[in-house]
Amino acid sequence: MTSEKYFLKWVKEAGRGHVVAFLSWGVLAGYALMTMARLGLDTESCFFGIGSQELLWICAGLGAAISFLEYFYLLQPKKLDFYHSLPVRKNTIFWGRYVHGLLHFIIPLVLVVTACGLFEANLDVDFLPYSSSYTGHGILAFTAVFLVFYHIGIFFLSICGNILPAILGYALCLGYGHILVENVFVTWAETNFHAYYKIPLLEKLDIVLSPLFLAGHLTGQNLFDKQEVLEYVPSALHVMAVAAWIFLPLLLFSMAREKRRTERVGRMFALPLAERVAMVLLSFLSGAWGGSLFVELSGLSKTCPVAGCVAGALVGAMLALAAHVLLEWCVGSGKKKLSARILRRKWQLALECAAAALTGMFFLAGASSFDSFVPEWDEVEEIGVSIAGLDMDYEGYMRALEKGEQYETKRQLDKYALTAEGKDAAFAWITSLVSENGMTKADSVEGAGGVSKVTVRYRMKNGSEFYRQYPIGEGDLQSFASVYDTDEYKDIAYLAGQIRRVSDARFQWSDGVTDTVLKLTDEEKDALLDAYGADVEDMGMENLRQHLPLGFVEVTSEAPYFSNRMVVYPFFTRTCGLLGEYGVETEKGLADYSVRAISVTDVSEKGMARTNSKHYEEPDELEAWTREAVLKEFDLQPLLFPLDYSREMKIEVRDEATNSTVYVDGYAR
Amino acid sequence: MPRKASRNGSGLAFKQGFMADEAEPAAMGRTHGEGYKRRACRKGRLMIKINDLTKYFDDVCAVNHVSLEIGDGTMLGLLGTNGAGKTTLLRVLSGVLEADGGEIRLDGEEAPFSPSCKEKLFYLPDDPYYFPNASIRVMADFFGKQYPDMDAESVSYMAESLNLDMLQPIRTFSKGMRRQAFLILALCSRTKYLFCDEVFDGLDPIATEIMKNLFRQEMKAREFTIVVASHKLGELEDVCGNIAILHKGGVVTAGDFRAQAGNVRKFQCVFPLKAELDGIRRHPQIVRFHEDARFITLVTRGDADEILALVNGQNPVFVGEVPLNLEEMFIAEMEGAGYDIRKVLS
Repeated sequence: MTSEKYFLKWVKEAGRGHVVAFLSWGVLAGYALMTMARLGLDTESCFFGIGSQELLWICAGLGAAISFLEYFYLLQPKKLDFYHSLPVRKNTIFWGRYVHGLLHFIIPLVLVVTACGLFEANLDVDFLPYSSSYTGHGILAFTAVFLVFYHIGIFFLSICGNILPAILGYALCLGYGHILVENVFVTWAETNFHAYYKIPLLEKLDIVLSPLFLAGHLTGQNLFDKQEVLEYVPSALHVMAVAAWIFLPLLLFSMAREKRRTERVGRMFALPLAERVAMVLLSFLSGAWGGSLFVELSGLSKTCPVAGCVAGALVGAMLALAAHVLLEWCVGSGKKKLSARILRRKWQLALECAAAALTGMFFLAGASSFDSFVPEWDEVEEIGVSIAGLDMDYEGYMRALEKGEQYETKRQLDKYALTAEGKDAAFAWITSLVSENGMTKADSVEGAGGVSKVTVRYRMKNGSEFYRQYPIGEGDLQSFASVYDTDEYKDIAYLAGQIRRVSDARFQWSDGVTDTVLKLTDEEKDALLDAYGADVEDMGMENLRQHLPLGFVEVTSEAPYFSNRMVVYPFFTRTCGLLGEYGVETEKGLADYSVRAISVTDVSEKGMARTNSKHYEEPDELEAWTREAVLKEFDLQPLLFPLDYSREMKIEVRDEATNSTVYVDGYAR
Repeated sequence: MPRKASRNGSGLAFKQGFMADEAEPAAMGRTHGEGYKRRACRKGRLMIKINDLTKYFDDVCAVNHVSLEIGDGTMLGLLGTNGAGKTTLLRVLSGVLEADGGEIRLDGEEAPFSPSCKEKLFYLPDDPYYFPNASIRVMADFFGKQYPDMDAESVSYMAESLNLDMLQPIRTFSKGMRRQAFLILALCSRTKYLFCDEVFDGLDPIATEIMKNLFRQEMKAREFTIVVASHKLGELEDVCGNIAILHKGGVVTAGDFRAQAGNVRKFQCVFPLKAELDGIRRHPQIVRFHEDARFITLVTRGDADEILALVNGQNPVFVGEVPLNLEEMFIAEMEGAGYDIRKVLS
């Protein structure tokens, strides 16, 4: 018998019972049918390969399930006695099952994805050019996802002697990196670093250490646009991380298989080394997590960071010790007493406790250099600046003030990415800010006598990024005018340059209540944009403290994703003049409309609760409230021109021109 | 799958095997005396050599420096209490467990657990595994793929003879029927060596006798060496003359105890009421002294004439020699070697 035939015989033998085959072929066939049915209805948002969340879960689930089905025999003493007494190498049985599980995934996956590709190519002409690359990428990416979860499963079944630790170990492996990064490192960073906003390295670690997140990035789960999905290529970092998640467990379980002791089946770990490593990792995580949680919940670090850190370290060391004792009790065997077992690995125990305790200390030690960090000017490619409450509405302002807020701030950092004169001005402003406020925590804006906080992103010439967040006081805000008043910043804020680049722009005047389409010639559009550009150039940040907008010129275009508006202030005299020439009543406000009713609702601090709503319909009341009212749409500078946000208004306006009723929202002035 | 024709006429041997036959024990153990070895070597070549075998389960020494030599065509019984190391020794011998020290050689092979070498051995554990819903036929087909000499025809014949349905799932069998089914499969795999754990456990007396006869017939028909483990001496008494007693992982004693027990004799005596028996009781050649009123049972070692003279000096009403059973031989051997056999075999 040749060795190839011999091996194939055992690959075939691994399929006895056909559970793996039924599971894999059945699930993927079901997916194919459902996806084809959905593709028949919608080829724009339904993806069968990259971008398919369903396929991601199926591949990850099958990877885990098939690994457990194929290698469950490693945890069954009867089966082990049976297989290992047969005239066959243990190697052959092991790898025969590996190939069997792999084949029963790859073959149906290739068939299913290819069938879906052919099906969509018949339905969608736009998909045709991408059909082969998209299908191929999908097969490769989802095979990689399967291999990650398959190998992790085999690894845990190889090192464990019991199903319970194998399952728990698998689950913990999926979450370990995320817990370590998010609940330990980030918590300690937030606690110790006053200027902390986020650390890109930790974000990358969070992804590459979490198989599920990584699989999501590999298979484009963060994409929704069809074109992006079709052209998606995962980043090199993610591809390398996936390769590591595939090959490292492969290497480890290959070694574990050799060293595995059959007689340890039934115990928690089949390998003494695995027992030690698991104890170290779990004790460290328990201690470090517990310590950081204690510091976060106790709030000690807010009053005294050093005391908080020391207390956290002590709690962490004690929890690491407790976890070690618990694990010793779980894995313990033989006649030795627990007290003797605890001390059998004294140095390991000391290492676990010390590592758990020192994690927080490490962040405390680095706090000073983190907070006072300002990069070398000539190494900075771009500086992104976001001041909470500047160029955003009140709701955005409140969100931006929240701890760890990402959406609003990120949007502004991307928008106000300064590379020219704005960068120089911003760098100078930040340098002076760091020397003043670097050691004050940005979350304690009010406590520090500040008015808001600024988030800064340094994008370096080598591609790396650094984020810092500082509180700002009134003086800092005023001095920010040196940045705000640069042409670069204003061009970004007021979009004049961007609008000019669109040839088919359509203009429409909006005063917050009604819209008026402007029928302008190309020359009139150019003239309007020129006037607007000149007004923006002349304006200063201080003007925004005194005036609210009059309205907007909404600009729309056929160009993809283009929809912008030009904010028109009363001090934009050139723009207002031209708009007047084009028939727009720029001075027309809410008071010029027929207001039928106003509801005023009291809002608690930060808009958490709404109480005491009153409805006004009497003319004198309406007149008084109309004078007070400012449309929510005009609330663009809550920091520079704050309104009375404790009273929200719902205003019913009669539009005589269209004989219709319009409802608009507002705040009291 | 085509069935293989039975070789060496073993099918016929099975057919004849239901008739009782005498075992010809010829194993040898090394530990207590070279005499065992010499006697065993007369019967067959050394086929299994275990030298200083050690197996630890953490701090527990399950097999403690065991050395045994098992000749070809012999049947060795491994006897011991629970935890004595019998099953561990069999699992190490069959390649399921890896030894921590020592050496095993099958037919002189240095790598006894290579697939080609393992084709020569069949390990039948106490509670063997079978595929879910598998019948005897399915298992026979499976073993047929593993063991090149598997005799599927004999499996059918023997199963039919024992009223076992070849197509019925094994899971529906009683414990005894399952045991019979696997003993059939083990015998029909036609391996050179068979290692059985608690071999007759669960079998009724008739099935036990049938199986013992099958073993004897198979050993007669071909070169077939069997190592069986049991904690019941009675099970092995009439089928294995060669016994190795394990205690706490080590071999207490091993060999052909019928041959060894030649100088051990058993007497039953009845004495008058006034007889003084202390001299007999305390005599160093008395292995066992059991007193039931004036009815005395004596087991002696060495020259019995001196004891008989002492006995006759007390004017016994009756003195007669009776044959020893295997258990008594063991007790004599073990106590002679300084062990309290009741602790070993209890």
